[in-house]
Formats: sequence, structure tokens, C-alpha cells
Amino acid sequence: MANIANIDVAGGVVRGVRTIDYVPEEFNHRPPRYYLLWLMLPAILLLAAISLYPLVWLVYMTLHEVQLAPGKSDVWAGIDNFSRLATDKKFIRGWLTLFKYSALCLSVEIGLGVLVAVILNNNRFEKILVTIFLMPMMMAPVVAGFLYMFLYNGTFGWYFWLLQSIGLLEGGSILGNRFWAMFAIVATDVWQWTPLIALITLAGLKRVPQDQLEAHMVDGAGPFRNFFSVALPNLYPFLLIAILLRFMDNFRFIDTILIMTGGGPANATKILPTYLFDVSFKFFELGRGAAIAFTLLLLTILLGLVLTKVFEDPTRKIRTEREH
Amino acid sequence: MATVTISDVWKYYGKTMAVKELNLEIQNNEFMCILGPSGCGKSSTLRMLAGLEFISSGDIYFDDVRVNDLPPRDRDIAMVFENYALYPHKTVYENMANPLKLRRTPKDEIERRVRRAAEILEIDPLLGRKPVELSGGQKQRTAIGRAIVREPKVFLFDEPIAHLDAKLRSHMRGELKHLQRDLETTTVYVTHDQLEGMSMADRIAVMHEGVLQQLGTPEEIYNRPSNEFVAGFVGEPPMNFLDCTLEQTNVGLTVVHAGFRLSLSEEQASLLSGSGAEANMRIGIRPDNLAIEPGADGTLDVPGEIFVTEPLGGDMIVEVTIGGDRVMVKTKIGPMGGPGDPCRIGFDVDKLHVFDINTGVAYF
Repeated sequence: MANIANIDVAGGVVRGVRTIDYVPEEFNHRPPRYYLLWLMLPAILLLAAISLYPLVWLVYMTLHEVQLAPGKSDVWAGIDNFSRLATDKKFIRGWLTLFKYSALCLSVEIGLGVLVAVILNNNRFEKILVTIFLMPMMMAPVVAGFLYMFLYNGTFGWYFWLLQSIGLLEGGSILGNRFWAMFAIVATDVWQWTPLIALITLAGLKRVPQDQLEAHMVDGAGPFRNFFSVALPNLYPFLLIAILLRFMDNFRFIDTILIMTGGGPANATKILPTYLFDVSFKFFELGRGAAIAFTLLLLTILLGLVLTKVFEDPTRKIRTEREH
Repeated sequence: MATVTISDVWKYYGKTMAVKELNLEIQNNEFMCILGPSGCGKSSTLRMLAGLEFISSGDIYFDDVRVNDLPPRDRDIAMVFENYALYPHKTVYENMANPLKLRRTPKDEIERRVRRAAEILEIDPLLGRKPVELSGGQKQRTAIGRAIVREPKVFLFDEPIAHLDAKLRSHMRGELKHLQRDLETTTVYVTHDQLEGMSMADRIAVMHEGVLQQLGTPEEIYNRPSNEFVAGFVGEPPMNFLDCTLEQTNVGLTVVHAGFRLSLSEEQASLLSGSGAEANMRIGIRPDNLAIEPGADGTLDVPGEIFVTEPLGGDMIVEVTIGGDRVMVKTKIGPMGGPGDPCRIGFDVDKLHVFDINTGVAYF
């Protein structure tokens, strides 16, 4: 249908332009293609089998007292498993320890990773240095755990000797010390996973538009200003991926901690996943374990959503706003 | 407000030479255009002025200050980039305020200057928008706005309107020229579009393969090109070049081509004889300086055959074959005949250019 409208153009308004209300759907109507459903069905079934089925089982377990002995049927427990968690001090401490561990790991890894990436970017030896830096990442976490356990060892550990020689440590042991143990496992995680963040950031740095950096320099910025005002905002989407990956890893990788401290000393490194491991596979309270796992899952999803929101690429945000 | 002196400047990228022994003095408040095809070293020159590239050898002075080792922020310049280089996460206002903010200008002063610049450029309704919400022309105005909020010593333009559509481009040519006169600031403008150079600049420096070919006013560049490259690069449609021989005849010095003979004027002849021109040389003549008549029995001297006609509305370009070579003729639109039809061509001998066939240097 034709309308009369006023249109803004550079330098003024053009009045009385005929416009047409264009409704794409009406002109491009296309019958639904049901065969697509059949084509997707195998993939959907496979996905359901490997991820949906266990999820349903998890929910089932959270609502029952799961019996391990053959022949005994599970007892309906309602929300007992959850309500017991509210008073479970170890559960709450597990969360706090997890937050502390994750926050420490993430902040150090992001800071160091970005710094390493900036140093590596356009370095003469970039290629070879990247290869060297990636080595820790290739290692199985269990191996990294063992490696650091030996380095921290009170009799022959090199790090132990180093810390003792510079007077930071007065005998005892690193992993047996309630204060040091947390930093020791954080250091292991940092050593192994900073390269990943550096790699992702490096990829991001390559995509920072050169002309914006140059324009900012002409505008009057020095190198530091340039990095924080131009490069960093352009790195947001990349940092988001890095942070998401690492924070989810922190919530699920417990091999290193199990090897090094097993959650000790005195639960100083007992982050929630290790507590979950204890409940489910040491005490075999599968129902309660499932409830813990369920809260962990919910919070991971929630934090993931929040992070995506916080770090959303500012330019993309505008684009999507405009499309609506 | 500064004179810019480029003295013996060379630029190498690795072993590739980009700029060779460039000497250029840009007067105070002058609009200088550096013109040349891509890869001629014009952008490298501009980037050296901005401090974005190191100078391999030589010196650059702003007034009497040697700026070789000054970073861009200490050079007091403003630059407009080819791709506008706006900050996508900042609004138009913030983009334009950025140079002032980085120089710690008081807030109300920033506000005043940005508003003023936005008014000049007629983008004040867009101040709250972000670059993705702008059209090409609006982005370009924002980029210019960012440059004019300060009063820098020198404006540097790196093909600022190359990405606009043709209509907007011709509009912006006038705007930019007007703006530069208004602001009275020394300006260096880099472009590959000879039309921009011709229409806007006080003086043009034509560069080719890193070497300065000619420096002069648009009028000088157009009417007295110093060599074949400049002659062919400036002007649209481009100059016709024909390989000819020189002969001394009883009517004076004559240019001989398979399709025609032209007698040179005494003045032209004296310029040629004094400079040791060889018997073989190349003549150049602009399409505007050729006349054409349809049909075989006109009054003009040279017979030709129409190859193709390109009507352009008011004018038309006719490509004509003369003695095996093809030339373009620009004329008022009218009945001309089709391909293969005969026609007659007239040369405006006064506007003839003669170039050395080996070196390309112009005799006149």
C-alpha cells in the first residue's frame, strides 16, 4: 500500500515521498519443508541419547534415594536431597572455595594471558614462542598435577626449595599448608591454561583494526591509552570465549586437585566438584550427589548467560537492537 | 597553521623502495594534493608526515621543528583515514570528542567545539548515534569532524572520499574545499583521483613509483605536464599519444604520422631544435583539443574512421582510427554515424605536446 512520508537525508528532509509498505512474508511465501525434520531426526536422536537421557536420569536421581544394592528399588525422596543441602556446611564451603579458586585462576590467567599475547603479537619470534607456550596445554591435567606435586614436594621439590631459600616458607610443606595449598593448585592451573587464553587473545589482537589504533594515536593517545581504549574493547568477544571456557573448566576439572591435595588440607582446596566426587563416589549417596551436581549445572548455565551479557560485543549489540 | 618541509625523504619497506628522494615544501594554509596511482608512495608520504611510519632517511619539518622522531600525538596533526577509522563502540559525539578528551580539554569546551564542528558538517542530529548506524557519507563527515574539532597545525587526508558514491563524492569535493578555506589550515590531501586533485588543490604533487613527477598548480599540471606519465594521468578522458617522426620541410618542422602531417609553429619548432629532439618522438593531444566532423568530405585536415561512439548526455567521446592508431575525440553530442563510417579530424596544433620517445620527458 502506498503512503506519503517524509524522509531524512543528509542535510535535510525530503517531504512527500511515496513509500510502499513492504511485507516480505506475503511476497515470499514458501510452504513448510517437513522433510527437513526427517533429515534432522538421526542427529536429534543421537543427541537425546547422549545428553538428554543422562540429564533426565540426573533429575530422577535428585528426587530419589538411590539404592545401590541389586534388587532394591529407589525410594522417593521429594526435595529432601535439596533441602538437606541448605544446612550442609561442607556444601556451602565447597561453593565458597570454588568461587575463590575460580576467581583467582581467572583473574591471574586473563591478566597474564593478555600480557603474553601483547608481547607475542608481531614479535619476531612469534611462531616459535607460541609453539613453546602451547606445550603445557597439551599435557593431560593429571600429568600436570603429578608434575607440580613433585615440584612442591617437601624433600626434593624444586619450588619448595626455591620458596624456602628466599624465606617465604618455613619448613612444613606447600600442599599440606592450609594457606599455601590453594595458591599451589591455582599456580598449576595458571601454568597449564594461561597459554590457552594467550592464544585466544593473540587471535583477537590480530583482528584489532589497525586504522583505529592509528587514528587514536593521531588523536593524541600513547601506547597504553591505545591498548585500553581501542584494542581492549575489540578484544571483548575473544575474552568472553576465553573466560567462558576457563570458568566452565574450573567448575568441572578436578583431576589436578584430586591428584595434588584431594581437597585437603582440612578442606582448604575442597571446591564443590571435589565434594561432589566425595559424596557420590566415596559415600555413594548418589541422590544427594545428583542434587549437588544439579545446582552446579544450574549455576554454570546462569553464570554463562550473565557473562555473555556483560561481555557482549558493543557493536553487535547495536546491530541487533536495530534489527528489532 | 604551519609550513611543512619534506627534505630528501626516502622510504623503504625491507628492500622495496616506496618513496625516493622526495623534496616538497607545503606553504602555510596551502591545500596540497599528492596525486598518483596506487603504489606510487603517496600514502607512505602522508603516513610519514603523520608519524605512523618511520622515515628511512631524510627529514620532515613542521615550521622549523624537525618532527622525525616525534610520535603522532606530539605532532599536532589531524588525519582523516580512507576507511574513516571511527571507534565502533563510541557515539558520533564521543568519536569527535576523543582528540580533545585525550588532550585534557575542559568538558564545556569539548561540548562547545564538538557542537560547532557538527554544525559545520551538518551532522548535529546524529551525535547520539554509533558508527554502525551511519551511512558512508555520515561516517565520513564524522571522521572529518574528529579532525576539525581541534585546531591542528596540519590536516592530513588519506583518500577520504574514495569510498563514497559518485554523486556524494562530487558534493564532498566542494564541501571539503570550502571547509579548508574556512579553517585556514595547511592541508595535505592524498588521492588517486585526478579529478579531486584538479578541483580542490592549490598545488598538486604528482607521484609515480615513489618519485615526484611534477609539482605545480592544477592549471600547470594540466596544460604543461612535465612528462608523459603526468600527461596521461591527469585529464579525463586521458590524453591521446601517437608515435610520430619529425621532418624538416620547406614549411618548417613537421610531425609525420601514417595518417597525417602537422606543421609545428615556429615557437614549437625552436623549442624542439634547441633540445636535441630525435627524429622519432611521441605526440600527445587531449581529446578536447581535437575537432571532428562526420562524413568523408568535411573541411578538417585528417581523414579517419569511427571505431565507436560513447554519448555522455551533453558531450560525446568518439574513438577514431587514424592511420592504424586510435584516438579519442571529445565533442558536443550530435549526429556522428556508426562504427566504420568515415569522418574528418582537426588538430589544435597549439595544444600539442611532444614527448621524448625513450624518456617520456616533455619538450612542450
